[in-house]
Amino acid sequence: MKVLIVGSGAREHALALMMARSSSEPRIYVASDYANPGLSRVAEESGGKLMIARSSDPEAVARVAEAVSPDLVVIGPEEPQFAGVADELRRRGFTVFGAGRRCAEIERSKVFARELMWRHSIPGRLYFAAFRSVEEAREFSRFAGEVVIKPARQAGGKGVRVLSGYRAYLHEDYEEMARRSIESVASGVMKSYSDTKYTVLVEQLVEGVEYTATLITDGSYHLPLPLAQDHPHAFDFDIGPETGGMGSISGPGWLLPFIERGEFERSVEIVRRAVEALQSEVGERYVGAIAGQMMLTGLWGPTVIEFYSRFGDPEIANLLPVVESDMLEILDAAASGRLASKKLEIDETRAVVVKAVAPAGYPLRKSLGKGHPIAVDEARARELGCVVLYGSVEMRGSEMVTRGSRAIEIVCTASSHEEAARLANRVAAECVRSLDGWPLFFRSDIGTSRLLSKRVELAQRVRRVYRSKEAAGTLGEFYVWVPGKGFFSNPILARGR
Amino acid sequence: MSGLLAIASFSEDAPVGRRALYALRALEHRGGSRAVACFATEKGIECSSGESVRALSVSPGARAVVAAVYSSPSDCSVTRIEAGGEEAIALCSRPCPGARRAIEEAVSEALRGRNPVIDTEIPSFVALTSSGSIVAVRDSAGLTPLSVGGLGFDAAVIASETPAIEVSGASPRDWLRPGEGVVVSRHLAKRVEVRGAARRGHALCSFELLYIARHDAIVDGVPVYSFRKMLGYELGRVAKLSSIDVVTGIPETAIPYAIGLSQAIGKPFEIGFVPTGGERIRAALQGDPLARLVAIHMKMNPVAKALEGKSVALVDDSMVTGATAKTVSQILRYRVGVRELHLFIASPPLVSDCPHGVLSYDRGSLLAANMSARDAARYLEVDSLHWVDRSSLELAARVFGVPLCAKCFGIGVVGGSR
Repeated sequence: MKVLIVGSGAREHALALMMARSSSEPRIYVASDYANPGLSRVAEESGGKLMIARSSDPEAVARVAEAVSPDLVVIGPEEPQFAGVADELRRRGFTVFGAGRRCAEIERSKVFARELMWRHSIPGRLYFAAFRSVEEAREFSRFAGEVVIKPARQAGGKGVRVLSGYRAYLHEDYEEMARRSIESVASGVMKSYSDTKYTVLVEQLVEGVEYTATLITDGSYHLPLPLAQDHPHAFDFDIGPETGGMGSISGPGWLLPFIERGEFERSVEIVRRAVEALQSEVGERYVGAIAGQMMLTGLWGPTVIEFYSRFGDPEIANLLPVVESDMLEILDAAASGRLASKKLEIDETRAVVVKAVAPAGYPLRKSLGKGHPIAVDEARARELGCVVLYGSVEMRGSEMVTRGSRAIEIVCTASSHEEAARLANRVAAECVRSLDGWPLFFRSDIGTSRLLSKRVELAQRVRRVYRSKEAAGTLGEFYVWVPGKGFFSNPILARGR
Repeated sequence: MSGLLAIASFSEDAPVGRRALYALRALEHRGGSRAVACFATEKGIECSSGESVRALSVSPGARAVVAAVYSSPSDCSVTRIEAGGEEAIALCSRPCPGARRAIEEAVSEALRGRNPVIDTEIPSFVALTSSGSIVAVRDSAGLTPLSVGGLGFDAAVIASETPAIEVSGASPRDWLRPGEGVVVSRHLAKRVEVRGAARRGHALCSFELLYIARHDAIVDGVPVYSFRKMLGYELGRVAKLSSIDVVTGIPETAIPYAIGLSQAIGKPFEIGFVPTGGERIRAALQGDPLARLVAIHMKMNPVAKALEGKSVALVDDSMVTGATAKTVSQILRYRVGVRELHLFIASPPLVSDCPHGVLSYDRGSLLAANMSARDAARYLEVDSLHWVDRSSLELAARVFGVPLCAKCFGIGVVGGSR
C-alpha cells in the first residue's frame, strides 16, 4: 500500500510514524514544503520518499500524487485544505483523508464557524460581532470592555488579542489596546488574505480551562480521540504571547485530570453536531479530522473557542505512544466511508506529555529564530523512552537548521504526567542543542503537578458556575440591562455586520 | 518592610506604565514612606521616586517597569548594577550591602537563561536592564514572597502580593519558590533557579501572614484571610473566657482574627472603631514614635455605643512596643467606658530581634521582651492579656502547609516544608 502525506511539520511526522506501524506495511511518501529530516527518514525507511512541493498549491500536490499514485492521501495542515488540495485530488480520483475547501471553511472563517453554531443552536457558542470596516470595529470596541479581538480568518494564532481583566481605571489602556489590535489585524495579519469578507471579529471573552476534542469522521460515523490539552502561552507560568502550542498533555485514558466524563461526551457531541450542521450547509461530506478547541467555562461548560479542520499540532502527537489500533486502517476507512466498522483502541494506563522546543524569537519575531543550526541526540531521547518529532527544521546539506517556528517536539509517556514531564524536560534540556549559541526554549511546567493542580482548581470553579446556570436554565445566557433601553441577553450582537 | 513589583510587556500594543502605578498602590501598605519606579527608555533607565506612589511619574507607554515601596527611607534599597554588559537597576526587599555582587551575578546568569550559582544570601529583588528586560528572584531563604501573574497574552507581572497583580488587570498564576526567579526579555521568558550554598533551609517570614499582607492576598498558596481567621479562632478556643459580651478588632488588619475569635466563643463581633483618611496606615511600621501616635489616633475613633458598659474582647494582630494597645485601652476605658477589657494578640510574644533583618526594631523597646505578663496587663490596663501560643501557630502552619520563620517569637521554624 502506498500513502502520500501532504504537509511538512511535526504533526505530519507523528501521523507518518503511526501509519508506518500498520500491518499493511505502507510505503510512505510526503509532499513537503521543505526537507524535514524526520519526515524524510520515515519515508525512506518505509521505501517511499519525501518530495519537495508547495503543499498549499493544488496543482503541485496533484503532480506529486500522479507520480506516486498512492492508495491513500492524508492531508495534515489547514492551508492546503483552504486552497482546495483535497478537492483537486478527489476530482482526480484519489482517496483522500482531509477536509475539502468548503468543509474547511469551519476553520478558515471564524465568522462562518460562529454563525453556523448560532444558526443550528449548537451549545457552547459565544456572542460575537464581525466587522468589515476598521472604523466600525474600533467604535464598537471602545466600550466593549472584556472581549477578544481576532482576525476574521484563521491566521495561525497571529493577531489575537485577549482584553481580559478590564478595570475602569485603566480604560485608556484598554481603548488604546483595542484600537491598536484592530488596526494591526487590518493592516497586518489580514492584509495577506483576500479570501474573507470580514476583517475583524470581536468575541465575548470567556475564561476557563482549555482542551481539545478531536473526531475522525467519514461524514456519517465519528471516532473520538482521547482529550488533550494544549498550552498556548509561550512561556512557563502561562505567560507570554500566543503560540501554536508549546506542548500538550493527555491521559491516562480518554479524559484529562480536570475534565469529567460528561463534559467529554458533551464536547464530542458539540463537534459532531457542528459536522452535521456543516455538511447540511455546504452539501458535502466531511471526511477527515475535526477538532474543537474547547474551553470549560462558567457560561456553558464545554464551549467552542474555535474549530480546526485537521488534527491539532501538538495534540496529535499525544496519540503516538498510546494508540493500539492500526491508524492507517482507520484513516483509510474514514477516507473511503467505511469508518462504522472501526474502533480506536488505546493504552489507557499511560499519561502522555508533549513539549515543543522553539528558537528565541518565536512566536512574535520568527525571522530572528530562523536559520540557526541545531543538533538532536535522538539515541539519548530513545533511551529515556521518548520520541523526537521534527517540526520547523530543515536539512541544508548535512546541517539541520531552524525555520523560526516550533522546531522539535518531544513525546514522553509514563504512568503519571509528573513523570512524563520530568522525562520531557530532561530530553528538551539535554538532547536538543543550539550549535550557534542562539537560545532555544521550552516550557518546563507543562505536565507538572504544580501546573495541573491549578487547572483542576480552575475547572472546579467554572464547573460550579455552569452547573448553577444549568440548574437555573440560563446556560449560555448573559444578561445586560441598560436602563431606559432594555434588558438584553446578548452582550455582543450575535450576528455579522 | 517593602513591596516589590515588576511588569514587562511582550507587545508594543500593550504598554504597562499606568498598570504599574496602580499595582504599586496595592502594595502601599507594605511601605508608605518611600516609593520608587524605574522604566527603560531609549536613553537608558529612568527612575522616579518620592514619599508616596502618587508622587511617582512613569511614562504610560513604558514596556518594562520595576517599582518598590519601602516603609522607611533606611529600608530603601536601590542598587545600580551591571549585568550581561548592560546597565541595570535592582530594587531589593531589604538593604543588603554585601549582596551587590551576588545580585549582579544572579541577574547576568538569568539573562543568559542559566541557573545562577550563588553562595551568599540574597534578598528578594526585581531588576530592570537598560534594554528593558526584567529579572525577579525570590530570596533563597524564602522569607519574602513574590507571585507571578499574566495579563492575557501580553504581559507578565511579578509582585510581592497577589492583589497587586489583580489590580494591574492581570491574573495571578503561581508563586515563586525560595530561590526561584523569572526573567522576561523582549523575545523570551524563563524560569530560573538560584543554586549553591545559599540554598539551605527556607521558611516564610511569619509576619507576612500575620500582619503585612492584605487580607485578599494569597501568599505562598496560603489564603491570608483564612489563615488569620483560623488563628483568631484558636485564640478564642484556648482562652476559654466566658465573661465576654462582644468582640472587636483594631482596624483593619485585626478584623479577620476578631471574626475568628467571635466565632470560636459564640459572641458577636462589633465594629469598634472607624478610621479617618482613606490610606491604610500601618502604625507599627512607623519608626518615629510621634508619627506612630498620629497614625493610631487617626484610625481609632470609637463606635462608643457598641461597646459601652460591656465586657470587650479587643483583638490586635501584633504587639511591638504596646503603644497602640495602651492608647486603645485608654480610649476604651475613659472615652467609651467599657466594663471589662480583654486584650488578644494574634501572634506570639515578640521577644527577639529578627536575625534576617526583615523587620527592624530595637529589642529594648519590645514590650514582651522586657515586661512580665502581670506588669504588661497593669501597664495596658486590661483585665487579661492573651497571645497566640506556639502550638496554635504550629497548627496553622501545618494546616496551611507552609513553613514559617518564627525566630522573632523565640520559636524557630514551624510548619510543613515545601
